[in-house]
Amino acid sequence: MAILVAFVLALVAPTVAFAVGGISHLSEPRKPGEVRIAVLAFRGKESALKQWKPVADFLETSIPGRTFHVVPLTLSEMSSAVAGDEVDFVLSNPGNYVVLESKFGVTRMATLRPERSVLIGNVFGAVIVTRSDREDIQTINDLDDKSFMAVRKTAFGGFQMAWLEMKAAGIDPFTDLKSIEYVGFPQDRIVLSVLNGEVDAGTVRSGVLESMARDGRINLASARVLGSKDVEGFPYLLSTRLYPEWPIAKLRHTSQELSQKVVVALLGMDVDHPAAIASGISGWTVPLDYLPVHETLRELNIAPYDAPVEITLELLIGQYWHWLVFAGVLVTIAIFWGVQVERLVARRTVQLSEANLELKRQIEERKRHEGIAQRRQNELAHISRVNTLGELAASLAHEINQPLSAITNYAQGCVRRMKTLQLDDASGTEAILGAMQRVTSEAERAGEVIRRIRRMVRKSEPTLKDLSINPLVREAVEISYAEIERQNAEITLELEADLPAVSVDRVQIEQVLLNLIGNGLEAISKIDGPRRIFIRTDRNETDELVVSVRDNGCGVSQDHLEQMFEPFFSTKTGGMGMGLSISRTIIETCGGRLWAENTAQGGAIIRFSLPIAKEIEQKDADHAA
Amino acid sequence: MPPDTALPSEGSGQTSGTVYVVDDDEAVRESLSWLISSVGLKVETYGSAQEFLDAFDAECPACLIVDVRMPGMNGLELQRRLADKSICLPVIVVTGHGDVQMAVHAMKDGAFDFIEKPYNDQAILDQVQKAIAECANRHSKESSRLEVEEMINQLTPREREVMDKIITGETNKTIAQSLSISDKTVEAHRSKVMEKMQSTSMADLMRKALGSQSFTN
Repeated sequence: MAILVAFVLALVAPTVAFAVGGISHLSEPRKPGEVRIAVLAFRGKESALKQWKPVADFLETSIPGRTFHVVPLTLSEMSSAVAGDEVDFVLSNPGNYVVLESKFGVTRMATLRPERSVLIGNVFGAVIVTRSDREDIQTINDLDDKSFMAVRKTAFGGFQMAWLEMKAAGIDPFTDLKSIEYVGFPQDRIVLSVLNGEVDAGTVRSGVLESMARDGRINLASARVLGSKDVEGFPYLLSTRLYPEWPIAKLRHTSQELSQKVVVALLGMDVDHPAAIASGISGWTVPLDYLPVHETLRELNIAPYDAPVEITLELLIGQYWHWLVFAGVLVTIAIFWGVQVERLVARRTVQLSEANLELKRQIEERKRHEGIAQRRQNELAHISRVNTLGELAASLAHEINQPLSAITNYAQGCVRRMKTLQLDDASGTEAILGAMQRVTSEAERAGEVIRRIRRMVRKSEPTLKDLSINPLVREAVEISYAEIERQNAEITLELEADLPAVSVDRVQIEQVLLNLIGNGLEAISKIDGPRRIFIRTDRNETDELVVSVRDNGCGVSQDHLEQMFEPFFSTKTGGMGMGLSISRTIIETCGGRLWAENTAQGGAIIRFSLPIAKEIEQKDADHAA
Repeated sequence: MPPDTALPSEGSGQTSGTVYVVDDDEAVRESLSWLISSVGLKVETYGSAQEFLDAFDAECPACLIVDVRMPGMNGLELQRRLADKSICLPVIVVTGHGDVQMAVHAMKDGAFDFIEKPYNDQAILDQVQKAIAECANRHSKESSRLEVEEMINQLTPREREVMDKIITGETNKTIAQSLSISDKTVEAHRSKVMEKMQSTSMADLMRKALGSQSFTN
């Protein structure tokens, strides 16, 4: 895509530059009464301005109330100036006039009468000249494979007239000639080059040879005119047909009245008038017939007759070769660039897919490691739970002994009563039934303790459920209850009601709570006076659930505040040192945080946060409590 | 009919008395009450030591069953408080498994006995019976000691001097010499002592005098 755009831009850009160049002064709006005469500047703009200024001045004096300005233009500028109606009159060569007439409808008003020394009448033609001693060049046909010199390709008298004659003789100047050199004005140079033998042949306007001979600069005998034509009343050597001289033409927008005044003035210009002399002309005549010009241009397939011409590849190449070369270079660069890009892309693709494979491998490796780590984590958590239960053995025994004692008492009480129970003793029977029911409920209570222990000991994958935190706190406290009593500690629950659920594994969170309670009990075991633990649940400002376990112990030294979460860190004798480390891992796996602080009162507070479960499900709430 | 299955108010007489049960566990407390009341004893239950202390009104015979582990004031503490108040209530301490240390403390502090959970019903009932008997025994000992104290308090200083010397085995003669009084006077004091101490023999006087607190001081 980029290549294509660059290519198109490269082709178009110079054309645009051509079109806008050099006519900026025309863009100014015309002042009232200002008349602009466009003049073909075939010898340069300054020279054109100098030659035709006297004519403009002449018109200004002849037509009061008007100012006339000469606008010298090149061929291409001429077209756009006429197209934009930026001028009022056009003075140009017959070829250009015919083009403007066809394209823009300009109308000739008068034809120039050339300098008296050069011409008789107001028609002209051209000669094709070679040295008279060139035996090999007798006719126009002999120009095949010869070098040639002309004014320029677009010069009507300076080339195109001769071109038509060559074409008629079967010679294509652009393919059959050995070379064409365009040397511009003045045409004298061409004559001299031919006669000096620098070039095989050349073409100049009719009358030039005679003028040069008259001045003694050449000898006419040393020149041979090819395809010489003899026209009655025409005094010069001639190779071509005759064409009318330069016309002055009006544009479509130019008013009839002004045109009429200009024509009258120009036709009235005397041959001896200073303006005529200054311009090197001998005046103006009625407009001639420009049909021969039309025919010639049509014959040569050049403007304005270039459109319907069958466009051959050769013609295109001949006309646009520089563009084609430019395009070719661009295309080559583009192809080279494209190939380079392709190669780079291919290389990158290979590198990328290799990197991708490597990445996949690493991801899998990582997943595998994570799996292993997770399993180890679970195992460690399990060991820690079993360990915690071991530490709580006395408490748990007490937990089970309590209902067992009650059961025994009730049962034996029943036995003793039933031995002496009278059949008609309704209240006695009632009492015994009540006691038996208590036996059942106490047995269930003992069973619940056993289930709790089994849950803690069971080695299972964590299963996440949306649970309320408060029942978990209560259950953990119940499990630790005997231990709390043993320490003669008082535990205070400050549980916020209506907390949203958290998505957690029940056993894991209970494990964390047991660890934190155990940690708190440890902290207060050495202090005199009341030993207190506060457990609090609430929400924080970032909408997480926060559980804090606070004690009124001696706090934790600054060093230990972080260190206490490292594995195998313990201040207890007989402690494994895994509890807090595992607790932190469990909480972090649930997406929360676990951290310790010292309180202002001197104790320690360990908090953990848990993200709130997305869907609040209260069905598990208070189930365990 | 076996003596331990007697129902309230009838039975062998040893079954009268009050048992105080202090345990923070409602089920344990109430089940003990159910068990103990099956042998005809009166049972009062309390959820905490403080509750018990607030409501306690010394009755005899009685005994106290207390769980060693309780929030707030535990069993040992309660036992000490009772001792501080000179209340001679026999205390049966109930301990959980592995609380041997506490049991030893309890015994040192004068507990009547300790029972380990889980306990045999017969064992605890036997202990309760013994404790109640002990309470009654302590109570009768205490009242006879108080009677002797009263008798001693009625002696004149001279009569007290004479009795102290009689108990150490001195004869009337040596007493008369050491007190610089006549033998007759000693004899008069002696018969007054025997009369006031309500003793008919030397052996009885000696038992009463030696059992009294004022004498041992």
